[in-house]
Amino acid sequence: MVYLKVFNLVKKFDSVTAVDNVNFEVERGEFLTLLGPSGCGKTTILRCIAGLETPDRGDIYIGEKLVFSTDKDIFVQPDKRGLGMVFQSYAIWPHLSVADNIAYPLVERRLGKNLIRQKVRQILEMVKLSGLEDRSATKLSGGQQQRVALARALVYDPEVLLFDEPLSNLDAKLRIEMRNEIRNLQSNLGITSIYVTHDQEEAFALSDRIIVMNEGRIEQVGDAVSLYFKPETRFVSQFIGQTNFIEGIAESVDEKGTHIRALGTRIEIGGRSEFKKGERVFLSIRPEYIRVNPREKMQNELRGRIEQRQYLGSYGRFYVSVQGVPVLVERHDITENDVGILPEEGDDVILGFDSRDCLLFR
Amino acid sequence: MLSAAVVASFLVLYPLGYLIYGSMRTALPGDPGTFTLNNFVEAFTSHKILPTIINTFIIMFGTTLVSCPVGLFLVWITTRTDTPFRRSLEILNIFPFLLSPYVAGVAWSLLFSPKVGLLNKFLVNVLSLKEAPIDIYSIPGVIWVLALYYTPYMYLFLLGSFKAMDPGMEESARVCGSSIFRTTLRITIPLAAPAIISGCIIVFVHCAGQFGVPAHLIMPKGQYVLTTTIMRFTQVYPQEYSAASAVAMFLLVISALGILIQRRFIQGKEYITVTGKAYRPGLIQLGKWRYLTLTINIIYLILSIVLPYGTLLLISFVSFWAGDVSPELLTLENYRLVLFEDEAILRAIKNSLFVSTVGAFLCLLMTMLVAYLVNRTRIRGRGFFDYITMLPVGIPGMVIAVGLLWAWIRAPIPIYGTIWIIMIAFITRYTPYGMRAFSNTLLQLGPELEESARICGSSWFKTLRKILIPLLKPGFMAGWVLLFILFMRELSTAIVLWYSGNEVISVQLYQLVRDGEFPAVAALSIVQALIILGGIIIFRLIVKEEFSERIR
Repeated sequence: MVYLKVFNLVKKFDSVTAVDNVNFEVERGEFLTLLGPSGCGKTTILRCIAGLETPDRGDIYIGEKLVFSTDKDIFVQPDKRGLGMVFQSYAIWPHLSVADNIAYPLVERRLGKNLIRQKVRQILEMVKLSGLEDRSATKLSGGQQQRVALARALVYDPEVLLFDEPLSNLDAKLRIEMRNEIRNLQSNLGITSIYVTHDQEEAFALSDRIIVMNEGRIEQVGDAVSLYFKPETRFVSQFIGQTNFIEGIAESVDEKGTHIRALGTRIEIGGRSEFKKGERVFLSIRPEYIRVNPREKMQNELRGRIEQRQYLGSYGRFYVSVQGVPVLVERHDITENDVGILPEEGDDVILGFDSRDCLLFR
Repeated sequence: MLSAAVVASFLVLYPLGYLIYGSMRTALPGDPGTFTLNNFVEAFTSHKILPTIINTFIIMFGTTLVSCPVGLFLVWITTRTDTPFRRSLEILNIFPFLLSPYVAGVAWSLLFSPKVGLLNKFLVNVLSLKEAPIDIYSIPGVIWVLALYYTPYMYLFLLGSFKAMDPGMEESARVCGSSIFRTTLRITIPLAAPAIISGCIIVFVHCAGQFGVPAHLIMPKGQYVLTTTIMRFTQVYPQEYSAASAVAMFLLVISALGILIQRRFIQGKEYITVTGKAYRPGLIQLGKWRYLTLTINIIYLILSIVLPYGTLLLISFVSFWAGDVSPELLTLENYRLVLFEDEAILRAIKNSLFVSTVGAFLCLLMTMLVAYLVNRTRIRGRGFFDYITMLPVGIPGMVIAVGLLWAWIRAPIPIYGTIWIIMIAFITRYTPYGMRAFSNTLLQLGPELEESARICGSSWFKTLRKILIPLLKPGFMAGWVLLFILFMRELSTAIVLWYSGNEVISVQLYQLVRDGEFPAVAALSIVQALIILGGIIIFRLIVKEEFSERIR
């Protein structure tokens, strides 16, 4: 069941269009992530939903209620939208104690003193901060502040929870820990959530569905698997994971597939055939799909020289130059015995890859 | 560098030492005398001292009570709301800070003098009143004028904390269910409370040192404040320098106590609300109310700039002043007098330009070296130098002047009565402004820039010349213009130390007002204001930043 709806949303800052005609829906209880590089408009969308930003055009529904509409001239104030929001800077008020910070939304809703105390105690337990009620909020660590912010957003049982890059100020270990906790809390409470991040791993770990954004527009909507394996645009294929782009010319397009000419050879591509003969195309091939000196012959082979070799623990990287074009190759599952027989810097190698791992973009 | 620090400390400590010494002597330094506490007894038992102290406190309270809420409101308007033209307003609201409160006081008396005040006469005519509705020559009059010019103090004090405040603080309150009004009340103001309260204390204490406005508006009626009492003791025959020092000591104690309380208060309470990656500040959407906030701000600017300076401009073109402005009175004579004819006025303009240009330069040169010593070296005693050079922040100008008077009046070097003693007084008084400018710049730059130059093979001197001086240059230029302006309008120190020949513009204005030469006063005030405006324009041309960033 659709719970939140964003329709034809446009937001401009002076001459810059931050959000360019964006449409999407969020199911009840779903965890949706807006993923994209900084400046792609993801935070602006979130702030428009919260009512902290006034869009230039569009409609926003939360539940049955129209909270924003340019056509009907509706703008519901942020305090009347009943949302919870976790800010990137935590936005914990330093003049209030932990308990007062969390109790704030309840006080604003005029709940009774006893009920407030009880609810604050419950939520503190939930975010594992019991016993810190009277601590000054500024005396907390970053992770603890983040928990307070989370508790404050959850304490009044909002219908929708908004997260604005809440983990980006934490160190790597804590980030993973908090991320798991957020996901647990969210699925236990079944609360509809919209999460903004530029971190692909975070988006993958948390989300039911991800919207990839670039320059104010939606590039692709899907779950982690489809975004990784079936990127629909050049942007998504390079933003999600790593990839090599090889420029070429479409040579032949027929039922069997497509062939392009690139790096001095003919490369076979499976599937897709909407390209015209002679058109300029970009071949995308992920580093882990390329074999260095494959044992048996592969569909496509390139000759190159290893410029640099890096051993990175569970995997290794080869920076290979193919006719002056840099190609990144990754090899996983390296055992101790393999290390000795891996090709070295300066070695001439053959790079092999299958046509089914190739993607073509304009 | 060390010698600069020693000079700076000497400039501050020497007059203070002499002030304490002088306040406990029976005779002038150099003359035979004994130590005594009689001066205090005398000064504080004279029949007028109790009303004087009461007047001073009424003015301090009144000014604080009016200017602080107004300053707070103006900061809120310009930094937190979508009031139209808020960026221009943000800059314009600082201008009154740069104008002379004394000159404005004179201007307001031209408007609301009970007999000849322009607006009083207008009101009497329009409303057919029997007598003038407002008498500016009163304590409320003093509070009114001072409040107008302390509002930007408060404004500047708060501007930084409001601009640096993480907008998320307010936005999260909005999302949590607070209206704009509740958010301001429960989040914004409590967060700014440390800055608000310490701003109030600073304004409160600073008022005690104000000389010009009470001297013009209530001294003629025989009502005194501490500063005008000091001035009476030093300027009216027979001079009682010892009693003046005793009163100055009292003023010093009030200020020192105020600063101490402010420091105590602020300790550990400076809420760190600044975040590294703050989002574009979200402004409060005021809807149609934003025209009201715009109007309020414009009214403030009219009252503090347009009305007083418009009046002065008008009166600067009349041949004589008795409360009427008619076409047959119009003349350019006053400007001819001020700019070409009157030798004393010309000398004052020259003196002012000299002291403001050279004095400000020397002050900055000194503070630059001291700031480097304090922030970049590990020389022992640098904390002491830091403290001493910031000390004058809390010392009223008049107190410094009285100390200098004692220090130089009988000194073997003939400095008393020359332009140099005025310059020394100004430099001493404004040393903290220079210190702050450079300390901030040095802290922002970080020592890595110099260190990397040293590692790259530059000698220490070459590093200074090639790296540090170019980096500090914008700060230096900005500081120079700012100090130039502050020197240009300074009255309270000069009034104690002036002597025929070393008058500056403000002292000359004071003399002209006393003689009732209001058209000349108006013309000279306009000249002074134009020089200050020139300073601001030069500042904007050479420094690519806002004035407000520098003054704080």
